Amino acid sequence: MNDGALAGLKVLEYGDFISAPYCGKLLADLGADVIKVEPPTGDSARQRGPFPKDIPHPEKSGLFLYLNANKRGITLDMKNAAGKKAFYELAKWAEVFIENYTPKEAKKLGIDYKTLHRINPALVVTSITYFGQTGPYSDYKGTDLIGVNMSGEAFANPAYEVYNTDHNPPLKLPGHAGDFLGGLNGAMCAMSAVFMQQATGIGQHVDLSIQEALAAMVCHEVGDYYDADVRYLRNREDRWEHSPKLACKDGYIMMNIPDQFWAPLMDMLGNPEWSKEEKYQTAVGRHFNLRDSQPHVIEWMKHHSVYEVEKLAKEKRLPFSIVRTMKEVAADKLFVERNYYVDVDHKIAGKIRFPGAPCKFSATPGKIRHAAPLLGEHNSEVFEKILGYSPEKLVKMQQAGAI
Amino acid sequence: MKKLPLSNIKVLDFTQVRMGPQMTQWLAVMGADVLRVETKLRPVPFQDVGRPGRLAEPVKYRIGYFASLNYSKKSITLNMKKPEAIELVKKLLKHIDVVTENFSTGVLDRWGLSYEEMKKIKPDIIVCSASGFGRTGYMKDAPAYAPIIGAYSGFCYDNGYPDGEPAEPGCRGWTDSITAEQGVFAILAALYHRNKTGEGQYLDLSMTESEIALSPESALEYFINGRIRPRQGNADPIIAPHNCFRCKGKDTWVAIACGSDEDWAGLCKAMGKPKWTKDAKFADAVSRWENRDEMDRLIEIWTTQHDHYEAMALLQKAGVPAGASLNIEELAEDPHLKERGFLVELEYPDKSTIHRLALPFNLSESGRGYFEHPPAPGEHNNYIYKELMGMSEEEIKQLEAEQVIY
Repeated sequence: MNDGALAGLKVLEYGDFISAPYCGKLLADLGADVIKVEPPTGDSARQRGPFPKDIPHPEKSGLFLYLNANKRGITLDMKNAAGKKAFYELAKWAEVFIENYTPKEAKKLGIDYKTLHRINPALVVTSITYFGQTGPYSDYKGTDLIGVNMSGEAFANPAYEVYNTDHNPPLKLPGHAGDFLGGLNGAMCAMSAVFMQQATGIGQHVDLSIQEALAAMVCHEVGDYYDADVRYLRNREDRWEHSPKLACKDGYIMMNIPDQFWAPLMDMLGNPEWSKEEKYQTAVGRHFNLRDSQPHVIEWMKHHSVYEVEKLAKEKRLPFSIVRTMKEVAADKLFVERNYYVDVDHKIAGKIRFPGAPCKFSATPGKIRHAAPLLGEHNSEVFEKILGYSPEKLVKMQQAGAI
Repeated sequence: MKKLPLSNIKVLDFTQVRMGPQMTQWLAVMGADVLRVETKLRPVPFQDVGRPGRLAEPVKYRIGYFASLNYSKKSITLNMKKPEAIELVKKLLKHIDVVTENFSTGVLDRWGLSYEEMKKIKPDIIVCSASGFGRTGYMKDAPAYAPIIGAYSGFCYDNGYPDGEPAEPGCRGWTDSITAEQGVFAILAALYHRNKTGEGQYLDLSMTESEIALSPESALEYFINGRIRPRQGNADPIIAPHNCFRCKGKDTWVAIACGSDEDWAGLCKAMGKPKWTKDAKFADAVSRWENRDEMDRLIEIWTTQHDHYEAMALLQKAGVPAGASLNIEELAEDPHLKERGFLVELEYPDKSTIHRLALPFNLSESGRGYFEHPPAPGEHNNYIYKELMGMSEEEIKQLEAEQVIY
């Protein structure tokens, strides 16, 4: 039984790779009925690893399987008239549509808002693009790397070696953080528009820009620029002040030490002689002499292992974490206690463990109802049950290359 | 007037600092009435200044970080140390759809405002509790800040140059921000369910779990092949060129990503088809990836002859995914973002204005949403206590004198 918060919400997805599929995943994991349309060649995420034992296989991509569990999958060739017709029939069935093509490509495919709005005026059309539907860059090609750079995120990414600006370029975030963020923002917008659809019966076009979704994270830095003409450069060092990453004997730790943690930190260090100096006895003094105190802290850490520091930091209740690898994260019993991971059994890829939903719903817990669809797995189910096509018609469409 | 998606929703907002306020800002811009509970007992962190010490003049209204995260909301003041204040909240709850908080675990319980208690007063209430490690499990009481969560979740280990050290990811508060957005989505889904069934619920939102879910690549690699993903800097595991390239001018860069032969042909064309591009070393995607260091150096010979905006325009014209790496000033002044209405002006009651970034959406019926200046503490006391709750002037004055409304 489907006990998710979004049970009953009808969603059509024509999205590729990450942003639109992640948007669809968020809805599907909470119970929405998401029909994913793939071209006969399949979503490009199927070509992306990680694959079990590194052997590429279109049904075994970890990324694709993570993004598309709980969805029903069909194939449609939008260049084929019968394929396109079937797509528009599904657009009439759906309450929400999700896509991630540039405005030009969407128009060419016939999945643009103007066309779909004519077919189904109540439809919420969610377009997730790198630069949005309007403005001079709207048809620019993007990728995660491009979005992260165009939003100031790469410039603001404070890897320590960034200070060496002559040697190192701006740094993108790990993985495809920008693409995922675009999908998340798309889901928030789609849900908002659904409320208006329910209240007024009208659909609308959600224009979501990944560049803006990433830039919205840099709001403090931009606010400082507007308010006080502060122009942060890449080699800023102010971040170190309150949240230093420190090298220990055998790894790194991260600490957060605003002034209220000064006393427990000095306790941990054994209240050394240098800390008793006059200049460290007031909050103002400590703030302005941070450059003098930091080397002592750095030196102390070098002589201790991360686990020694962890034990002490816990005793002193300091905000602290070892900079953990995925191995340590995976072994953490916290995620078992919180029932975080989900284990999916896939027909071809076998059993795979995935990160779960980041929020626990007390009344509608939601769950993985089924693994990601094989390419075209639900063709007959969707076309027969939703569109009422006969098996004979399906065979004809298959022969014509429409599905 | 524009129709707003959440115009009939009321949110009682107890959140502090960054993550919580960013969450309720979305709801406010989408049209919800967000009532921030504040107190004159202690100032809101970051409420007055951008960077401490950078602003010489005292300001009349709250700007700085506070303004970046709290525009379009309403502010009421309440001294929660007084039992009468808690009684007032209980009365107010009848008008509320969603309660948000990001205190340490247990604060609301101590006030007698646990989810179970609130549910008795308003059976279909939705309560969203945001925390570093979740409200259950052995870490529920551990102190949490964004950099700590970044390290704990494994994301920090992934961030950095291939030959460098791990680093806290992104701009200030990346982890706060992504959690805030997962929270908004969860609240909207819970509202959808409530509208359909009349059932409310409790949402336990974890920063750590938000970070792992939004950047699952390392977890997938580990669970599928038992490997720890190496730090990759700007590189992609299969695509090249995929990097930031130096341009003409101090610390200016253009990002280029060629995922297909077509993109590569466009890049060669834009560069004027230099001889080296015909070398067998760069003939196909696999060769380009294998020889990417040499190729990147050769591409940089071309990019260093151009301004970063110019390089972007030339490359995009040739069909190549490319983008100038914007610094903060360039972002704040970007002509494309300006034309799209992403930069907004907010007006205070004395007609003075500030500028801020909008939120990343534009809706065909609701536009960019609802924008109002960041509230002064208690600016909306009258609206809430008098208009919404129907309290008399005397009653309000009395509670003010007793420092309950304070």
